[in-house]
Amino acid sequence: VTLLIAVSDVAADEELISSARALAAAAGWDVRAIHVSEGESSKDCGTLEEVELVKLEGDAAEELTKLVGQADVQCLAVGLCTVAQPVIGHVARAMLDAFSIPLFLVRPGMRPLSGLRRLLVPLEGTPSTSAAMRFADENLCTPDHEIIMLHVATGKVPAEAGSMAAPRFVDQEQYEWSDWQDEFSMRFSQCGEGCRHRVSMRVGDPMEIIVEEAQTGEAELIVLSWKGKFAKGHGRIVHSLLERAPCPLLIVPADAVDGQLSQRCRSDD
Amino acid sequence: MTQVEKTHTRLDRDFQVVCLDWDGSVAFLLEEEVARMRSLIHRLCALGVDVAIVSESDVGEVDGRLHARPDAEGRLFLFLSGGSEIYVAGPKGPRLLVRRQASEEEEAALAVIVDALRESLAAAGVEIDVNYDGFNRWTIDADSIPAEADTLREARESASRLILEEGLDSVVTGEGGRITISHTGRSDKLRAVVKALIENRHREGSDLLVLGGESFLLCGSEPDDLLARVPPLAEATLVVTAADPVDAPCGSIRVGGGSDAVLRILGDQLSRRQAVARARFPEPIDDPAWRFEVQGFDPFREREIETLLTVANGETGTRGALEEGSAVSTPTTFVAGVFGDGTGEPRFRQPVPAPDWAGLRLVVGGVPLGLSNGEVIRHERILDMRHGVLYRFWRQRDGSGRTVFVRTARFASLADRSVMAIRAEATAEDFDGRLIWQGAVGISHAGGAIRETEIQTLDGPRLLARTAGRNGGGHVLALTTKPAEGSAIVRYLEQGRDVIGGRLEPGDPATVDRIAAIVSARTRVPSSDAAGRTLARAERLGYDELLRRHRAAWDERWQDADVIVGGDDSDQQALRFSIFHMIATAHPTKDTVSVGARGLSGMSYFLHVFWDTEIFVLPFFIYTHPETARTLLAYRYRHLAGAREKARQMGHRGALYPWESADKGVETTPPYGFGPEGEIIPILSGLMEHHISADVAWAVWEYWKGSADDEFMASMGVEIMLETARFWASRADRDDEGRYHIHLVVGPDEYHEGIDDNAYTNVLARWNITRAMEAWQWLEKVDSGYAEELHDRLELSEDEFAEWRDVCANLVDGYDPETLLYEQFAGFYEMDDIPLEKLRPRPMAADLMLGREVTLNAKVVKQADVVMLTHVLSDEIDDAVTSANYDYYEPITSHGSSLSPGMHAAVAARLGRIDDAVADFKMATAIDLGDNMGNAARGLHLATMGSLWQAAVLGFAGIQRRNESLLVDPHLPPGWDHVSVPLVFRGARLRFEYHQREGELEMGIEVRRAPVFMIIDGAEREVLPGTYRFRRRDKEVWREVAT
Repeated sequence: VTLLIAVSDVAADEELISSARALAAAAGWDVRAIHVSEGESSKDCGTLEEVELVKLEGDAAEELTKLVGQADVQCLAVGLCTVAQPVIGHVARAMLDAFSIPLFLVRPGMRPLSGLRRLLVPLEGTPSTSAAMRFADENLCTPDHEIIMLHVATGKVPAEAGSMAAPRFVDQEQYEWSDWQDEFSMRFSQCGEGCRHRVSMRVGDPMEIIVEEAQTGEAELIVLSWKGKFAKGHGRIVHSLLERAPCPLLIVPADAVDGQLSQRCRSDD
Repeated sequence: MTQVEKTHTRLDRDFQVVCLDWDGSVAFLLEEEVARMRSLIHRLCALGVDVAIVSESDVGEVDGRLHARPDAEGRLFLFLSGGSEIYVAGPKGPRLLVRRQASEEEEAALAVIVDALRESLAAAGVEIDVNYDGFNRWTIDADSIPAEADTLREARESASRLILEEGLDSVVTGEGGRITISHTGRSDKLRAVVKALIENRHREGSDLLVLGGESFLLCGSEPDDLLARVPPLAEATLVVTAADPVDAPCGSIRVGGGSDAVLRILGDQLSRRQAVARARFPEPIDDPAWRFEVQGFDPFREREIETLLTVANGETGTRGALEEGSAVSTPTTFVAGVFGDGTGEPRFRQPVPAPDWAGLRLVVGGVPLGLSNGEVIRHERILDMRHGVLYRFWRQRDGSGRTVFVRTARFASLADRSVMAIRAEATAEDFDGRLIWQGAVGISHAGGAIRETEIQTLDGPRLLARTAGRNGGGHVLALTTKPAEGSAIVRYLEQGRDVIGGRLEPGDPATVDRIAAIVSARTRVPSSDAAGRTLARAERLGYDELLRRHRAAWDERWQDADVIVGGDDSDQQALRFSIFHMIATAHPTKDTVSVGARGLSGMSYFLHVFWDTEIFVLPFFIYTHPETARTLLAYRYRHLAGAREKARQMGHRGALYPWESADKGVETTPPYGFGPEGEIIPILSGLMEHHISADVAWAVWEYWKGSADDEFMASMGVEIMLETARFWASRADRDDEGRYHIHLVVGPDEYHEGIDDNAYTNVLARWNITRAMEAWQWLEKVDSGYAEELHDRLELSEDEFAEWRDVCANLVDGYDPETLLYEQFAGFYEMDDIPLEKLRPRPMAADLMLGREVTLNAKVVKQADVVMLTHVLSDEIDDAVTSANYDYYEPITSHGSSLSPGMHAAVAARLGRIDDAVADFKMATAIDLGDNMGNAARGLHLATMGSLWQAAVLGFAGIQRRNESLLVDPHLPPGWDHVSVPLVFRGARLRFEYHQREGELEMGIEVRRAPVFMIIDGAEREVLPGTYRFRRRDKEVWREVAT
């Protein structure tokens, strides 16, 4: 896997660069960087030592979109703006609009990712939104990492077959919760790499709970599935997290799940 | 009709031995035909057929071409060198069995004859070449002489005369311009075949099929010489495959066709056997209403599916996991009543699962076949609920493009509850190659209280697995896996692993039968011998007979249990599904086990027994299979000591049944658990949920009244009732005003803990005491001797009875005759109101969504509580009271327990609130069968199943016990146009049939065996055995229209 860092301003993107490099190190990915700034900026930064920096000509968003489509890039790291400005700049926006590969998003002021110990994966409890969990299992699951599988109960009942939201029946608490957690974990994670998985269920507004859980649980990374739409009624949580998440976000295309389902039913040897 | 049948009906049967004439047919085959012959021989041998190949050639010639290497029960024999050598060909090639070596004297005598012949022919001007080209054989080639020439005939006759003169046992044969003089002839070859494969193996001549070319069956001057020399051949089937043979023994079949005919006949012998295998593979029932089908494979739901597809028989329950396993599979076999100590904290009794007996892996061309290996073309699992068999149909195109069709059929025998069996068949559809079944016995994936499992391979295909629980019981699993009849596969060792397989051609079924037996004990690992004997008995019967008995047992059980619903397929399926699993879970005779909350289908609730059994499940058995109901109550009687001990430990008298019970009948509820965020939650039900004692007493009474089983009541029931009554009298606290209270309890609504005077608890406690005194009076009347004994043993006294009466008279119950309402518990009315919209949509785990502190202090009901009371005491609480309480409590019930909606449906139906009843019924059906709940992954909800039956029969069909009569007052859902309910009641067998059409309801009642009392339109009448028919229009009374 190659993680491509889209650098617009080397000095300003220092947190993006260091966080992306930390993510790549944790996942064992290769790193490339590309200078997408349309204006003058310094590339003389120690952060980018050992990383090849290629400057793109032309419209940054357009060129980057092309590059992602053509090159062997499996994950793209993009910087966000500060909260004082619109958080999603036009380059990040273009990448989100053309959402086809996982995006690693870092906003100035977030806790930069230096070493990955704990990552938070919010899960709606539907198969179609569990791509983030699989991505985390496949790329970031090591005995040194803890994955918190966070389900926020909202009272909504997903219609999708295979879904498993918060229980609607709790007959005997002494058994139901552990049963629910075990099944939730097994249903949405099949990782056998030794990573610690912890299921947490909370009740409330998902965005608030995710931010709070990341904050109090000291998660260094939030991995989230997203269907890639900002149209009406969509993307509210993603948008809010881009503004408020205390740590970097890794957004995984939700449809990645379909093509990989078969991997879940591999035979035990 | 097969090719051969067209040819001759005498070939239309199985032969145990096939003898082939190599020289006359096989020797002329093309290479690909030889390969086909080899394959046929392999597969026939695998099916137990012995094949004999007879040839004048030597082993190098024959084996060099055929290269057959069967490794099977049936064997390949080579009768070579004119019968002088006999080889048996195995996996390592031919091995010499017998060689007839002519003595020097015999050879010298034969040389004399050859010399004489040479001289004779030389005198006639014929030059010959003499060769000693085979074992015990001289060949004279006289190519210059036409085959039909007198010279050659005379020479042969001359040689024969000389042999006779020399006193030799040699023969002269010849073809073309050749004369062969040998120590063995055709009759010798076939005599050897007959001796080795017929006589020595105690077969009949009729078991032999001989296929030969034109001269193969001739051995003298007359066609029948062969039969004279080898008499058993007269019974054999002799087939001449030459197109137009000159001569053949009498009775032989002339089919023509040469080597093609040989291949065809062999192929037909194979097909005949394989047809048996295919035909014997069981088929699921056609009627979709009896099938629970799961199409495809959804890894997200797989554990749920495994639960739903559990096959159980009250003794064992095996989850419906894929035989080959997968990353998402949790194959487990639960054994009823076998527990041990769990690990971790809190520590409590947990089941000891058995090893996975159903694990089978198919290896295709060296690669294990799995759903992820290539493309799934079809994957379908069908639970045949009528017969308790789980079928699987799976067509997979593997990564190499080979298509394999697999089907399996497994069951846990209802006829012999220690036995389970599976038949698995794999067919290569578009390739030939090696298919291998690897049988695996895996350790349970479900955890539990296993201390150790020891697996031991015995002689042959048998295997033993001994599992010991931690400080508890254990069991021995014995199993065997064998090729099924008609399947051309064999057992062999492959890299030290016992496998069954073979090289097969498209369409060949590779079928195995696995039979397993589990014998268990509650305190130790039982003797392996018992499991071995059980297995041996099952093996003798075989898969087909075991299946036949199992199906018959299910047929019998359904006779008195099947509720038929016309007009709503999903309700029909849900009811059958519930009934199926209830029957499958309960043991009708073993009183050491009861029905766990999640049956034998999942580890959830650790097979612990709750009030679910008595209040939810038992009524089904009382009215369909009283023997099972009695056994379930006998479990409670058996554990009366544990209940007494719990009462004593809590400072009370009598018997307080444990909230959770396992193998010892003592309290097994963990004192705490862990919440959704890992926080510790104190569990108070073991300390405070005491209504279970009254629930058990209620079940005893209900059974007695429903079954009229006085023997049970006298021997067990009365004692249970007295001891539970004694507990309640002891448990109630008298206040200063002389009223009694029951403080600090948890009622069915578990959102409110540590409450006082829970209506359900108090009313049932009073009922318990009252009925216990009635039961006691009955016992004194019917068996005064035993009553006296019991009186002394329990140290009963009139003073105590007086105390009981005082408690009954003064126990508060929260009932307000003005409003007709029961207050659920003291202070309930003062609790916070919750806007109803906050309790929607239902079902809702309100404590989760609103918070425990909120539900603890609010008028929110987790599950039927007062409504439940009106249901269980429906013969004492009238409809007006029920209606008032239903109206009050229904809106504030969140149905946050799976025990709730079914009971609400039953009550709503009884009250004629059909919309509510239907909605609640549907809600209950979705608990296990809804595909977005995730509830069932760790076990079925037996209480829900029982409540569904009660909603259907007691609610919609409106058949309820009233003392020793049946009240009949149906309120059918509009979508149910036909309902049929069988019941067993007080020795009578009944069937109620309802037909609903155009505002009119027709009711048919069939009564058999004994009369029953029924209450129809408020009037009680005795109904004698016979058939009755009634009709009524909306809100009208019944009109009897036919008797």
